Amino acid sequence: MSKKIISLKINDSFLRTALRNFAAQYPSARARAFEGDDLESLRDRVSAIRDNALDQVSGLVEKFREKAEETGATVHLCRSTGEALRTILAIIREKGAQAVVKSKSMTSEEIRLNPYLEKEGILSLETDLGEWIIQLAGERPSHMVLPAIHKNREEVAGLFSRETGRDCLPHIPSLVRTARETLRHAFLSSRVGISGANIAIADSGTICLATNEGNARLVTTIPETHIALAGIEKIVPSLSDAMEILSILPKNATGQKITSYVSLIRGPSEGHELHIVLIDNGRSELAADPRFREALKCVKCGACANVCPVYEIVGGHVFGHIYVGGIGLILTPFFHGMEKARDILGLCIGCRRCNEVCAARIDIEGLILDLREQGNKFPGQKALLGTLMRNRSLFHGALRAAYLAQKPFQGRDGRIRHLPLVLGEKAGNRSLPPIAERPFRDLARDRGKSAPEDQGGRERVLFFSGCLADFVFPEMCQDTVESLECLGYSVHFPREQLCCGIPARYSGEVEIARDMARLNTEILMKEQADFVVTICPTCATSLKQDFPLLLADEPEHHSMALQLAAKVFNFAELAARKAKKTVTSADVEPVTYHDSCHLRRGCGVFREPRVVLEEIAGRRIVEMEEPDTCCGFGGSYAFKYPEISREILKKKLEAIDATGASAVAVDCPGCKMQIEGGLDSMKSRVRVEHTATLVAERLRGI
Amino acid sequence: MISQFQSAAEAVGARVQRFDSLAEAAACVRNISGGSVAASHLPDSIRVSLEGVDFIEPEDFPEAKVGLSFALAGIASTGTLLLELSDTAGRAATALPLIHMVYLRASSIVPEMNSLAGAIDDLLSSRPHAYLSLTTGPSRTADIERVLTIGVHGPEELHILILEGE
Repeated sequence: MSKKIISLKINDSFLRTALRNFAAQYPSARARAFEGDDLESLRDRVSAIRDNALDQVSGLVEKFREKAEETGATVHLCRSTGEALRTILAIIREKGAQAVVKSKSMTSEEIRLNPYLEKEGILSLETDLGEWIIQLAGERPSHMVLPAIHKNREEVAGLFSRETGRDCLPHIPSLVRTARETLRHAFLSSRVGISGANIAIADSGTICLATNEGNARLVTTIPETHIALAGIEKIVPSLSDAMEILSILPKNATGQKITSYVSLIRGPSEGHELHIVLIDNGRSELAADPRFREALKCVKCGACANVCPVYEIVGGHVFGHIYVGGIGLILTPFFHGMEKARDILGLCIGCRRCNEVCAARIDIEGLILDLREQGNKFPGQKALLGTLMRNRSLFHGALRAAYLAQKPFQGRDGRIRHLPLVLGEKAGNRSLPPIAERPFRDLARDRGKSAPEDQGGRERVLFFSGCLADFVFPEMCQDTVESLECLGYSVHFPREQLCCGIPARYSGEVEIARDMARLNTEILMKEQADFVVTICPTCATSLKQDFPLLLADEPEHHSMALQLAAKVFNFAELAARKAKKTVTSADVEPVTYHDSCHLRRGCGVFREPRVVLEEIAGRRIVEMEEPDTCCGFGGSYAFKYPEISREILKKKLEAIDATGASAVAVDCPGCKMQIEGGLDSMKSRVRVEHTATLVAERLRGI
Repeated sequence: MISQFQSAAEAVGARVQRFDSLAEAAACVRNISGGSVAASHLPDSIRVSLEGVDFIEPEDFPEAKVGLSFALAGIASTGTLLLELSDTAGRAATALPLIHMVYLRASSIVPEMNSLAGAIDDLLSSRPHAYLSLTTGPSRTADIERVLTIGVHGPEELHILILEGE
């Protein structure tokens, strides 16, 4: 993705405000819309309905065709984009139409219908207000449900003035009235109307449209010929399936309980023609793909964009191709080719907020990671990551060399603030902590025998520190060991442990990640232990969730990985087991808490750290706004897309500042590095500490 | 349930009035429409009660101020109307004018969408072709700056006339 476009979007203040306001309002609007619903079981049902439909997609296509044709409709099954375009053109030509009116259809965007018809001398007029605005501007939708969210009233007034030849004022109700009056004539004079379809129902041959403006009702009523476009994956077996989807779609899309109009259309009205163009365009193949078929479960609500911290910064013209948001990143390689997708796949920061809201429970983040493996490799990356990461002494040797190389850039407090030009830009106006002179693995060796190892009755914990904590925050590791020992565990640090493999997986290097999974599993399972503790939730998700998946085809290692997964816990989880509320928090300054993405959504852990902070560390917590929104770190993301990372961080820093707390507790060394770097460049005095450090401070004091 | 329907419909911008007789409802239609309406396929009893009202020819629907229709059911939880509009003229009457007035029998209000699943399936399969509309409030958009604006291509006003008597 070109840096220029990214910074253009970052500096587009209207876009930024519009997306920020929407992101701020969406969660509560959504929650209100779902009031009284059992949302999680509704998501389960929708997921099952979509799964079931994909299992029998070719059968449903035949059933739908049979039932729709019984009503007098004509069904055209088109394998490719070209076939669909030619079919639509032939229908329009047969009707002798020079112009057609259209209601909103993402599928028509997918096949680039308007430019094609224009080239063939046919005016295809968008009538949905947002779609008309972007058609006049010569742009593409930047959101699946709110296509013109990036345009303000002044821009719209300019476009409308140019189109109508009248002076249109930037007054929204008058602009809406102008659209009504200007497009009305087109509705009344067009012989052909084109719509999309939100859902198609096989057992009655019905198509279903959910709209708000009323244009789709005109498009499907006034012209004598109606062409409806739908991807074949939109077909579900029965009306009850369609109703479940309808009960989640508008609520998840914009927080609306139901759209103004839901139209169920079965067959052509008297004297009218109905052509239903079913588009495959790679869907059959995708539906048969064991891993990526999930992407076709999408109901096109756009919620994945609504909650995406990156989308909020750059919008849909950067975060997507034609389909935007998290699902857009996934659909693009299948519908428009890996060439178009390669750049945008890297834009996901991996926070998993999309997974949490997806109507069909698609593992959006996981699919993006797997697609990176296929598309986002740059020459040299494999050799570098592979050689360095599989070889512990080489990797650790490189990090030690970096300790010496960083010296000239360190300030008096040791932090790195002035990197040479290119690297300075990468740091994105954050200072960086230095690589420690002595990593934790050295400290652990020296400490060795003095630890209360294997004292009778103590549960034995293996400490998997993660590279960042080991080499940058060794004191955080010491705090972890001391805290757990004070809480009654015995702790051992296996020195052979390697990187968890996440950086490789995030860069699309699955083979390297698999090697790391195998080696680490062997190392950690060699020793007797009740638990494996991590202080980095990204390592935790890797050990718990990725290792068994990566080793699925290696029976012996797979079963070891499953045993290992059952033993892996985050620090806060192990500490919380020993919480007794023995301390008072009255005399200590309050802290605020930032939920790391991979702890909150990756591990489902958010109560435990709060319990530990209050009941063991004796801290009162003042919650910040959206404590579980990403801090913008995302591992290498912060260095790959420093501008985006910095903007996401800015919002987090404002939320922290608003609490007035003197410290932020986190459970992730990456979040600590990111937030601390941001606070440092603001010259803030707020400390950022791992929960383990705050616990250790308290326990040392007792 | 009638009150629940009323408040849900009003919450999305519909205007709801309750009547004890068709005659009172007809007076309301006359009053708002000024005596001429676009409509097609109304139940006979309603047509009779509107004696004297001018029913516009379908080709003149684009100029009509008020479109009139009859809902088969109402959904209390969302204030939604179920309309059977398989006839294009009847559909145009609800889509073109700035004002849409709909009759709804109080007895046909059901608690939620799912209560209508069977009825909708029957309506879809019992005729050679069907166009059903679930209508909730007037036409709306939030496409410019996400500012909610009522009345785009469809009706700006949705009047629901609930018939409680008879």
